[in-house]
Amino acid sequence: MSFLQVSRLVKCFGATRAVDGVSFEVRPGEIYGLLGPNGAGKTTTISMICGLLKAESGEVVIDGTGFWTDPSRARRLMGVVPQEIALYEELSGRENLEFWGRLAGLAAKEAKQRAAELLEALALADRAHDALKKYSGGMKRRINLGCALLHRPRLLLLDEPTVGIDPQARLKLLEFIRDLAASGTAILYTTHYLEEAETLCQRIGIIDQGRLLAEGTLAELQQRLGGRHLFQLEANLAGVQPDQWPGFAQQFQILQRSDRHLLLAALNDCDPAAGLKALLALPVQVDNVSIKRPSLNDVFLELTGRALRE
Amino acid sequence: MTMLQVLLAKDFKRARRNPVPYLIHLCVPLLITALLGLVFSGGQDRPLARIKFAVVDEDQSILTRLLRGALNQNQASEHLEPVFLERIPALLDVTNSLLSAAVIIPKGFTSDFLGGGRRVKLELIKNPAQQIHPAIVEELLATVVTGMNALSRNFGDDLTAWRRIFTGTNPPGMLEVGALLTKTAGQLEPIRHRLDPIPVTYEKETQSAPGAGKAGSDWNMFAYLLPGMAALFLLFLADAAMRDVPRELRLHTFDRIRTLPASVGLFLTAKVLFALIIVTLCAAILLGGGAVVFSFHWERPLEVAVLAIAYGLFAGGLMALLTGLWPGEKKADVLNNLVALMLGLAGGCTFPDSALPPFMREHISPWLPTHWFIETVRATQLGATEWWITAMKLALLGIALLALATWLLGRKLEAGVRE
Repeated sequence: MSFLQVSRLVKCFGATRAVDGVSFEVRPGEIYGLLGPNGAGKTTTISMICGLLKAESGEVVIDGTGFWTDPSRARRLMGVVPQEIALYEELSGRENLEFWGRLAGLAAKEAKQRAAELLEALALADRAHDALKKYSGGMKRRINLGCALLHRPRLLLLDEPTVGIDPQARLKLLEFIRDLAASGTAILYTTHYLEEAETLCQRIGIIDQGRLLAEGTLAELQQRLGGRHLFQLEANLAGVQPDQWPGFAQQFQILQRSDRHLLLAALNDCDPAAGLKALLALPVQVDNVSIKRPSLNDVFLELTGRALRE
Repeated sequence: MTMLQVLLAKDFKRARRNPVPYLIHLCVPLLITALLGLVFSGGQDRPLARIKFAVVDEDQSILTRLLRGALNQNQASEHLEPVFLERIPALLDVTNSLLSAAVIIPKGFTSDFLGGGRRVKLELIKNPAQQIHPAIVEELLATVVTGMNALSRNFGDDLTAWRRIFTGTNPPGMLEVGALLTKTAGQLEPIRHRLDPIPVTYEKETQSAPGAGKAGSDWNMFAYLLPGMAALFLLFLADAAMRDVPRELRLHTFDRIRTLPASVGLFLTAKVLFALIIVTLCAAILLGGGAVVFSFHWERPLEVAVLAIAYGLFAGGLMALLTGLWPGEKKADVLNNLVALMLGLAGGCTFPDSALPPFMREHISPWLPTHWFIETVRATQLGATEWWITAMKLALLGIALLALATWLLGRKLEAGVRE
C-alpha cells in the first residue's frame, strides 16, 4: 500500500501551468525519483505535497488521509528537505537541529538527544558547536537533511538535496538516504541528475513542463525505447535524410541527430550484431559506430525530443 | 506557547550572535539625541555669546568717554563686547561680518545735546547678515536715546552749565559747580522717592519637582520634542526587527517552518513579539536616556512605559501588515521606510501640530497612531490621566494589524506570491 498518493495535481501561475495533472505514489521503504530539468515542475509538486502551495485541483493523500483534511497530522508524518540550505547561519549545527526538532513537536530533552544521534550519523559530531557559517557546502547539506529527520518522519520529501556539493559528499549523502529507505521511510526524491535517479531510485517519474511523461523502474523506462541497445553513428550527415534510406525506418528510430552524429534506437529488439551490419550497409560513409545501453537521458530524449542536460 | 517560545528564543540567539544591525539602529537615535543634547542642553546655565559691536566716537568728549567706560563695566561687559574703532575700519568689519553693528557718535554730539535746541542724532549701522545681535544693539540704543531725551526734558535749564563742564569751554567756577550739583541732587530726590522702594517686582526661580534634584521643570522643550522623535525612530526599529520576515522568506527558513506544524500566524506573532521587545528596550533607552541627557524627568514614567509598549505592539503589527502586503525584501526596502516616514511626518513626529497644513492637522493627523502616541505622552507630562485609552487603542490596533497580516501573508504564500 502506498504511503503517499498524489492524484492529478494542477498548479498555475498566471497563464503558466506549472504542474499539469501529475499523479504518482510512493510506498514505504521506496525511493521514488522525480526526474526532470530545471523548471519542469518538481519543486512546485513537492511544495503542493507539503502544503506550501495550494493546488488548483488534485489531491495529496498521506497515509490514507488527505493532506488538507488534517494538515497538522500530515506535517507530523513528513520531513521536508528543501533545495535551498534553509538553516540559520548564526546558529551552530546542534542548535539548528534542536530548533527544527522542537518545531516538529519534540520535547527539549528529546530534541537534544535526537540532535546528538543525527550529528553522529551524519559524521558531524566534532563540528556540532561550530556556527553553521563555518561549515562547508557538503556539511551544510548534511545538516539540512538532518533537520528534516529529527521527528523520525515516515515520509521524506527531498528536493534536489545534492545540488552544489562535491562528489564525495554526494556519495555520503546518498548512502545515508539509502539507509533511511532501508529502515522503511518512504522517500520522494527530486533531481535533475540522471546518475542519481538511476543508482538511487527504485522507481522514477520523468517530468517535463509540468507533466509526468513516464514512470516506472529503470528497466521499464529503458524498455520504452523498444530494445536493450542504442547505436551512436558518426558520419558526415549534412543535408542527408536518413529516413529516406531504404529499410532504415523499419529498423531504427532516430533519437537525436546532428551533422556529425545520429543516436538510434533499434526497433524490433534486434541483436547488436545485426544492427551493426545494417548500419554499415547504409548509403553513407560511416566513420564510427558505438553500441550502448539506453540511459534515462535517452528515455527523456525519446519522450521530449531533447536531452535532459540541454 | 512552547513553539512561540522556541521561535522567540531562536530570534534572540540569532540577534545575540549578530547584534550589529540592532546596535546600529539603537545607536542612531542615541547619537542624534546626544547631538541635540550637546547643542541645546544646559541653556539656562550657559551665558549667551557676547554681542560684538563697534563704537565710533567722533566726538571724543568727556561725556562720550564716560559712555565708553560704562560699556566695559559690570553687567554690560558680560553681554556686550564693544570695540572702539574709526568709522572706516568699523564699517569694514561690519561688512565682513566681524561685528554685529557699529554705533557712531558724531562730532559735536555732546555739545549739541547739552546745548539744547538742536536735534542730535546717533548713527547705527547694522550687519544685514545677522538677525538677533544687531536687533539687540538697536534696542539698547533706543533705550539710551529714551534716557537722554528724558534727561534733556528734565534738566533742560541746567544743560548749558553741564555743557560748559563737559566741553571745557568757559568752565564754571567750583562754587557754581557745587551749586549745580546741589540743584541736580534736589531734582533727583523726588524721583528717588517715586522709584525706591519699587512697589512691584518679580522673583526669578526655577521650580524643581519633588525628588527631581536640581534639574527639571513643568514644561520642558525636550520633553515635548522627544516623544515625536522617539515615535519615528521606534517605527524604524520595529521595521528593522520585522524585516527578518522577508529575510527568512528569502532564505527559505520561513517556508521550512511552514512545512512543520507551526503556522504563519505563530511565526508572525513571534516576530511581532520580538519587535515589541526590541522596541520597548529602545524606547527605554531613548525616552529614559533622553530625559537624562536633556535634564528633565517624566512626570508619569509608568504611564509613558505602558504607552511605549502599546506603541511597540502597534509598530510591530503595522510592519507585519506591510510584510503581508509586499512580502519581498526589495519592495520592503523602499516602501516600509516611506510608510514610516509618512506616518511620522503626518503624525507630528518632526513638526509640532500647529506647523502642519490645516487639512492634515484637522483631517489626517488625528487618525494616525503616531499622533495618538505623541500627543498622549505629551499630555501625561502635563498631568492628563486619559492615557490608558490611547494605550488600549494602540495595542488593539497592533493585534488587529497582526491578524490581518497573517491572513494576507498566508493567502499570498499559498498562492506562490513572494513579492
